[in-house]
Amino acid sequence: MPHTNFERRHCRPAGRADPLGHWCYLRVVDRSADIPADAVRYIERTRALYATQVPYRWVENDPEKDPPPWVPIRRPLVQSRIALIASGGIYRFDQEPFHFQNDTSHREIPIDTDPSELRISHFGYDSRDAREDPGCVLPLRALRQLAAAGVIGAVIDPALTFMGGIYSARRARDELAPRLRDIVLRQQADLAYLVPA
Amino acid sequence: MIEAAGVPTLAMTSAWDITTAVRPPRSAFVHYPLGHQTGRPGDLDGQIAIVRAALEAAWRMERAGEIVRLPFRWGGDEGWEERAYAPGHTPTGTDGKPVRVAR
Repeated sequence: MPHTNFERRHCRPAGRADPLGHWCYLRVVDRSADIPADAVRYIERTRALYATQVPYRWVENDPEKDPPPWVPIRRPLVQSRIALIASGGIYRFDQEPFHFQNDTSHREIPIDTDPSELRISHFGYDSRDAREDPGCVLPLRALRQLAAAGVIGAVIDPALTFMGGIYSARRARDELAPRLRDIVLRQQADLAYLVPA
Repeated sequence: MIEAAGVPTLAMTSAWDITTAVRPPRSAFVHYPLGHQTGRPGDLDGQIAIVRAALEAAWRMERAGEIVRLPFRWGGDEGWEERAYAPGHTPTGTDGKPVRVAR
């Protein structure tokens, strides 16, 4: 069972109104028993990296109070329509780039777009390999080949992309997510395949 | 939100701790560096294998909140786990320079 601790962290002075800095209290849920030993602990590392800033409030869902929703998959894989949604900030050369701060827009990428026509604007990950081959974070060709080989029914056209480095979880939830949800519903997807970067 | 609207979802991840906190309905974990969620650059066969393994795992999952680890090893660059988001290794911005954290 996850165990809840509280951590006290001092944040450095933030201006004239906050000359001595201030204390923040973090509710930390210790789920270390769940995590494979070799998995990188990104929450710890980003907290350490940004230790002098106000700690970021990660979304934490209590599995007992707020369990994940669940819809059984109704169609066999070989007949399935797969919607691809990727958050790595990928866009086509003829589209507007993503802004680095709280950009809740999305792009529609035709699934036959050549990788050379794709660009990336995202501050939160090392995108050098993804720029060289966008298939690392937007697997269009892989899905097209799986459809051609009959492993899946179809990959839905277009794919949807956004820039996942949205600091405000509330804005992502209220502005971006409903829009993507409505598109996926119209596309009659059997599964929405979410790929972060 | 998509699952709540009636469409099954599968989330990929390379950050198990973040995924555990969020608990999507279905998750498939690949132990690769960030920015390589669906494979290595230029390795289309590997990308096909990862995507296929993820989708097949989704069809086998039966409990909400499950995270399945896919059997792929990064190989090669042995120090990547230590360097990931470690001091001095912040991700690059779009101009290739480290990003100053906004207040």
